[in-house]
Amino acid sequence: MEQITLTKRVLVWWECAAFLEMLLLAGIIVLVFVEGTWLWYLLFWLLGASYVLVSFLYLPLLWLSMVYELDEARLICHGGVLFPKTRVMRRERIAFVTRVQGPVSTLLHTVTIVVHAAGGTSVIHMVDERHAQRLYDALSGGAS
Amino acid sequence: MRSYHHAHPVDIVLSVSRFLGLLIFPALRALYSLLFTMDHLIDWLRGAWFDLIVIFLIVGLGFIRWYGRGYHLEKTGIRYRQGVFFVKTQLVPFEKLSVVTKESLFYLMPLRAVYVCADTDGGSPRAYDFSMLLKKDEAQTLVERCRVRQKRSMERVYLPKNRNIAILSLIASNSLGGVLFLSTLFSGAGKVFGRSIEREVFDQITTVTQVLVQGIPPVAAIIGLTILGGWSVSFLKNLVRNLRFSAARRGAYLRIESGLFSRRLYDLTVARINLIEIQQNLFTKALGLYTVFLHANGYGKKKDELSVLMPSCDRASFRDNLRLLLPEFSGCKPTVRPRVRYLTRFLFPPVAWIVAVTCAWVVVWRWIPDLRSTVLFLWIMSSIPCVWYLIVKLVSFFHNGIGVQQGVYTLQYTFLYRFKTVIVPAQRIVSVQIKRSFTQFFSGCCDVVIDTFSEGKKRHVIPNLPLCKAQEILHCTNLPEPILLRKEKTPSV
Repeated sequence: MEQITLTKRVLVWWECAAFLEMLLLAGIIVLVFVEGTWLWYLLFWLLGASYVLVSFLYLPLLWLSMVYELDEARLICHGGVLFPKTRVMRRERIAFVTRVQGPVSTLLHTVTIVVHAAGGTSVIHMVDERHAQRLYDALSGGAS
Repeated sequence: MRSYHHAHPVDIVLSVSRFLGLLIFPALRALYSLLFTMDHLIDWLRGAWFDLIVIFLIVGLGFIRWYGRGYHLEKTGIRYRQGVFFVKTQLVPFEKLSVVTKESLFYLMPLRAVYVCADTDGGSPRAYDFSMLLKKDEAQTLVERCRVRQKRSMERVYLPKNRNIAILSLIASNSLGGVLFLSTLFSGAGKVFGRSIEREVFDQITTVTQVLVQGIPPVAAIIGLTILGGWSVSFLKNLVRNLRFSAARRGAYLRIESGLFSRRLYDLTVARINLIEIQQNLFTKALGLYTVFLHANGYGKKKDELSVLMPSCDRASFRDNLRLLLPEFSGCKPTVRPRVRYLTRFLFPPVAWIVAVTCAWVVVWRWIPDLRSTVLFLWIMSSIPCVWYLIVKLVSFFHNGIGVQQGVYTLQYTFLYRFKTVIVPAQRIVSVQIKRSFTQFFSGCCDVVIDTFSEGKKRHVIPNLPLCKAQEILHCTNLPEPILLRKEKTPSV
């Protein structure tokens, strides 16, 4: 059984995105609310606490939880921290496979693969390009 | 390195036509009126420069979109690429295709442009998995490659008469669709030709209405003519769409063609047809007419598209033509039917509706004595569908049931005012539920809910069947009793 996990680049990107979002929210708080009031301080404390929890706990756990397994008969997708989910898809039921690469994915050399089957889809998020091509060929071959 | 074929160049404009139409016609109209005067042309340019820039931007985006789309025919399937910034690539295997459609719209025929769409069992239930506007010869090559070359096998063709297609259009037309079409047409025409023309058309319609419906209350006349006008437009649309219909079976494929001006061709893989559905209303049931639809992922997906197999035929023709085109789907008579003592279950809901509607209008009648004639009119109008429903439910008692023959199930049931007969192979049934309400426990009957294979959910509910026979025919015996009725604890499986 082949096991695929996300690369460290993906975690770095998520951390950067979380940091940028935190800055954006901090900017909104500064612009909208009056400085020095109890509400202003409360919002900043909440923002800081949320950022620490997300950045140092949630995102690393989420990155660790996302594992994809491929064997001769099935594709298994694991993921989730608060609501862990495992999705099993039989390869013989796969109709076709889509490969999606945006500008950020191109910079990070990652690819998202969407597997379509009758009744549902499975998304394999941001895997490394080398693994993605192998996975794509294996699943497309299983689809045909 | 793969070379991708692009779509037909006219797709650059067609893909952005929704946005372009808002700007280009007023600009062209103004330009036409100033065409022969150079001074005014410069004045017009000074006023319309922003609109022109937006038009060029829209066409430019259309070009970028066209450039980013392409397909490549591979040994095993169609490789399709889409997008410039977010690049999406997918491989649709030939052997997973359930329907391939080729559509030649009349206004694209001079440009030799044809829409080709292909669908599998996966993907979105609202959109085709592959859809492109191609040049005619490229489209022909693509459609032929999608079909495995077969040895010459006999072709069996079904050609319905035009009157059968007219009957289908009569049954399938609905006023709402026609009214929406007309309102969009008038609104769009107002934008193109100017509001004064739109007002002129409406004034003419009002004048004709007043002449035609003397003696009828104006509100009722407007509602009646709107419904009639909408239905007529819908009827004509369906007729034009379905004329020159033919269905041909060759080997493992079924080819369906239709359309008077715009020709549509559907290539269906027989092994991927999910079920056959016969729909009748009270009139067609009394006349013994059958309208047959087939369900395959990708056929009948577009708006206003009907997934027809046989537009309209009598019982004998239906049997003969089904054996000709799809002998794999052999229906049978239901063997599990509701018992006589379940008749009240069928009649109770419509009778309850009639009583409720009558009581409500009696209350209104007493409260508003000044409007008694209007209330009486509305009471009669609202009672007619309820009485109609009562007749439908009475007939459905004799219609409902389940039968099975050689692994193919025949399900007969009623949905609202329609009588449905569904022929589905056992392997296309995804799940079976046997549901019993509190009152059904003591009478020994149940509702059978069957989900069949499709891109979305397709559900069939056959109510009030005897429980034991339903379990036997669906191989659902040894089910545990409901918890409230259990006399002793049963061990969990």
